[in-house]
Amino acid sequence: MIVRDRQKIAGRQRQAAALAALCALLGACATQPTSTESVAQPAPPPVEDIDVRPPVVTPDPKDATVVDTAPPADPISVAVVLSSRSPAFDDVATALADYFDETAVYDFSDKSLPPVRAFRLINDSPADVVVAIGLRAARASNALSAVPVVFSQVFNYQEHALLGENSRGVAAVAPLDAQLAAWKEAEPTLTTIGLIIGPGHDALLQEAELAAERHNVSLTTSIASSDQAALYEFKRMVRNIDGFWLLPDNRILSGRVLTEMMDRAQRRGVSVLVPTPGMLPLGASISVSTVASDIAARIHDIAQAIADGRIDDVEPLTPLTEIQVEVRSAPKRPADVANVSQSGAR
Amino acid sequence: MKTLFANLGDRLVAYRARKPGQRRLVHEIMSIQILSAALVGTLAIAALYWGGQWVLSKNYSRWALQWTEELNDLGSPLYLEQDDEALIRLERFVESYAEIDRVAYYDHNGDALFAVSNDPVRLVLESLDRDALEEAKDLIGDSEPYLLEGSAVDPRRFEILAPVWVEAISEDGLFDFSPTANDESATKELVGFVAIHLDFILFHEQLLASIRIAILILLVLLVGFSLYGRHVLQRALRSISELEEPIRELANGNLAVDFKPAAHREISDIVDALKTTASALSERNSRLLKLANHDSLTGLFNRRRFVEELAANLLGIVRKGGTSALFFIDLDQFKYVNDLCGHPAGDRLIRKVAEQLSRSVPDGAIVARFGGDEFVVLLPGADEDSSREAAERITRRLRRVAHIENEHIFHIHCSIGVTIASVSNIHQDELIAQADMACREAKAAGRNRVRFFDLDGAAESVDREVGWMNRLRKALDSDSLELRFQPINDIHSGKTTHHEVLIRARGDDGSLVSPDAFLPAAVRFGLMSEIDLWVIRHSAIAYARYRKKHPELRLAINISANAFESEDLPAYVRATFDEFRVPPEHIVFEITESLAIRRPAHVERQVGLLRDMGCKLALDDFGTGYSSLSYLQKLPFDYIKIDGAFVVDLVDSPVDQKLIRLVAEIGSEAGMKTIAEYVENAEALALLEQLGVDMVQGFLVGKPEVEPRFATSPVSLKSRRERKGTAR
Repeated sequence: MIVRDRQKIAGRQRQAAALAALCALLGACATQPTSTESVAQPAPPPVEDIDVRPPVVTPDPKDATVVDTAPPADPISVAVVLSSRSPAFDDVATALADYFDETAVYDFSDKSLPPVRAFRLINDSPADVVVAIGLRAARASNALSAVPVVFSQVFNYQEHALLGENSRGVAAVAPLDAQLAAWKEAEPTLTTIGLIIGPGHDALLQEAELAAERHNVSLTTSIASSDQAALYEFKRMVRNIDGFWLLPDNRILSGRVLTEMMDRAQRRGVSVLVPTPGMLPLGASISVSTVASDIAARIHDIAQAIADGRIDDVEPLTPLTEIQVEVRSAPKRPADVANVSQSGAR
Repeated sequence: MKTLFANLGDRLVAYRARKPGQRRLVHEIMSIQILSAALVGTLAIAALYWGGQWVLSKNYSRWALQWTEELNDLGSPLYLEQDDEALIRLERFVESYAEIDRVAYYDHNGDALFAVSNDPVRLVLESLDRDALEEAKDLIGDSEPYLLEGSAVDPRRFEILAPVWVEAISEDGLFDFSPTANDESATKELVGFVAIHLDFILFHEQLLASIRIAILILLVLLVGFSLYGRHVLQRALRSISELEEPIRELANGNLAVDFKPAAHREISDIVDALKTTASALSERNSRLLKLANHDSLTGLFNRRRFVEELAANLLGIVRKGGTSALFFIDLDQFKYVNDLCGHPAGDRLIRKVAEQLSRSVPDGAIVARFGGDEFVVLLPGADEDSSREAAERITRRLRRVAHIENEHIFHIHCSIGVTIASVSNIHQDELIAQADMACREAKAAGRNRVRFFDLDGAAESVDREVGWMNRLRKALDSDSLELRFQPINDIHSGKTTHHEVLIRARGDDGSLVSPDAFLPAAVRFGLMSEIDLWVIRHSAIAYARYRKKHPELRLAINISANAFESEDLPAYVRATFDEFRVPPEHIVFEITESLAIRRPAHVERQVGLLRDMGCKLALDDFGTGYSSLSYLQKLPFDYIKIDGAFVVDLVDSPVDQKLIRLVAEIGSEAGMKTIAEYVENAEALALLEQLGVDMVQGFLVGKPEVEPRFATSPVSLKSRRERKGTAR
């Protein structure tokens, strides 16, 4: 666990007992190995230096939404809860430090501090807002937080009913219109694209269709319930498309299916857009991912609104404004990561 | 139908004509070809069949493995909920693959759900047994998540059992996805099992059926190619077979045989070679024929060919009637040219006469050189009038021939004897004799004229000559000619030095007849050469018989020009003398003056061989041939026999005396001894001695006797004194 402000830890520990009781009542901690032992665990380990890397790509000032990065007049205290220390989450946490004076970071992958115990501390702290990064953190925050929660890096938020009266979210995917614009720029001949997604993403599908229409691209969509079903649909779809749009729906994706999809797409010369650069080595043509600072900015905006008592004015899911694009120069060679190039974010 | 029977008949004849024990080339090559094709075909068929089987059995498991790639699609009913379209698609898929026997579905507990099959019987399912269930469950997440099992009974049947599960990347796993990272939080959920039953029997049967058809086609092709090969081979060899008949004809002497052009280059080369051979043979034949049928000097037909032509013409007369005329032409005084200008000049004149003669006869006439300066002409279809006209035209034309040699101009005249051949006068030998006789009558009548044979008047003479010919033939065949031995004595000693061998024949009445009566007939009818050889042989026999009694026996044998016609004379003499152990130096060959002086090359060569052998030579009848005395010194003779014509009237003829003296002197100078014939009285004997003659022969010395007799002839007083003086 990393704590930015050591001086606030004592106060937060006082709130731990109350949070534990709340957690037991809500049962939201069922997915986490909650136990009385964990609650009784000693205080978090000493705070270490934050390993925060700067954003990979500098946002393109032309397309980037202008974010007011000036520190608020009345400092907001946030508790940052991480599902894990994966770079995608950690980068956001690091970026948040630029927007908040007081941030306490809790890593749920640290077995020494189970979520219940962590929220006991958070609830005892003067945190005004809990920022949950990742699904696991969001689910725990939704169940255990005594203060409003802002979640990010959660794609299937609706399946887990993460949105509520005191809960707001930041989109997990880069804006679809910008994604398509970047794709078209990289591959101007793109005319027909396919998209397979799990159930419950009607709004996203609608956004995708609008984006496709705007960019004069024919969009074929399909809803799959599993990775096998996604592969099944992909096999039938791939004959008729020249681009495949992969969204980060973990429910319908598995390692084997991703590999199979990429392989078939490559054999048929179908360009694949993936949501994270990590998938490029599988054979994808382009990755359009989110920008950590953009997420942090959106979180700050929401937190500020909450702090100002304007939570009702905040839309349930705040879209992002920036994207990070990487294009494979040789998309036919899936293992050739050396050829991954970077382009500016919008 | 007739053609068919004709072909069958030809084949039957050809089959019967085959030589037993001999193999036919076509059959042998075809046998090799068919055996080779059968062997290769059998190997190919066996390789095709067993190779096909082997490839099939090797590929079944591989093909079965390929079906594992379809597990995602085939398992769709388990993870696609309520998707009727997917089910229909699945059924169509199964229908389209005959090798899919059944696709069966089980829930995650192994309980049977349903099956898809083309065979309704196979739709009934049983739940998976526990072992298979557990084993299949363990395959979840495996890189080869299936159980592939072949049938123990039938290697063409396979069953693939695979678990169907769904996976999901961990909830937060996608944001930092890495292909190499192990997502431990990924979830896997077993949704059921799919079992694919594959049966390649149908495919196997179809393939085997195809192989069988291929084998059948191969067999048909093999048979077809064999038949076609036989046809092609027979056609190719037919060219060779077709050569058989022309070559046979060629062997039989038909040089005009027609060789059909061959289609194949190799046979064509053979045909060309045969044509060249036939052409060369034909040319050689023509050359030989010409040599055999033509006179080498004039190019006219020779005697042999003329006789053939005459016989053919006479046969035509016998069949169709009509007449033909036969001319016997003898140049008058031809010997003058030879004697004055030499034999080359005589040959040139003969050639000129031949050309003129050929131009003077009507078309269709046959002109031949009969020998020496004798020519014969056959005018087919000519009667007496037309033949008279033709004969007179010949004499007229020949009379105009002026032959110039060494500043001498010769005008050639000829005597022509004519006889008419008709159905009643048809015998060729008689006709020739008639023409010859008429010619001799023309000469006797003053030469340079035409004389027709008077059949009535000359019938007896002709009969006599023909009779002689027949008798001589018989005498030769029966060895019944006889020899007589007349002594030749030394004029000074009166002792016999040698005997001249004389031939005699029996006449019709059995009496002995001298050569003058039958030798002309022998010459005319071509028996002279045979008679010469007979005389040589029987002289050798006589020598062998009498030499014990008369060791000093020496014989003089007459040889005619005919004996030299064959090149074998010296060899014959040597063989005969060897056989009877006759010393050649005890033999003198007498050659007539005309033959000696003309000395044709072949005669000169043979005479040289006789001399080399040791034989002695005598120039017979010297003085009858207008010979130049200057020749005597050049001739290689040991004796000169002065013709009896100069001796008979010697006592009363100073000219003959001078001539004999001259001959004797020249002979003496040339180392030759002179012999005088026809010495019948002592006066002549004495005179001859005075004239220098060395030897004498005649009735005074001794008549021809059955066996050699050594009698002493009268010797002059002078000689006797000289001998006594010498003795003292």
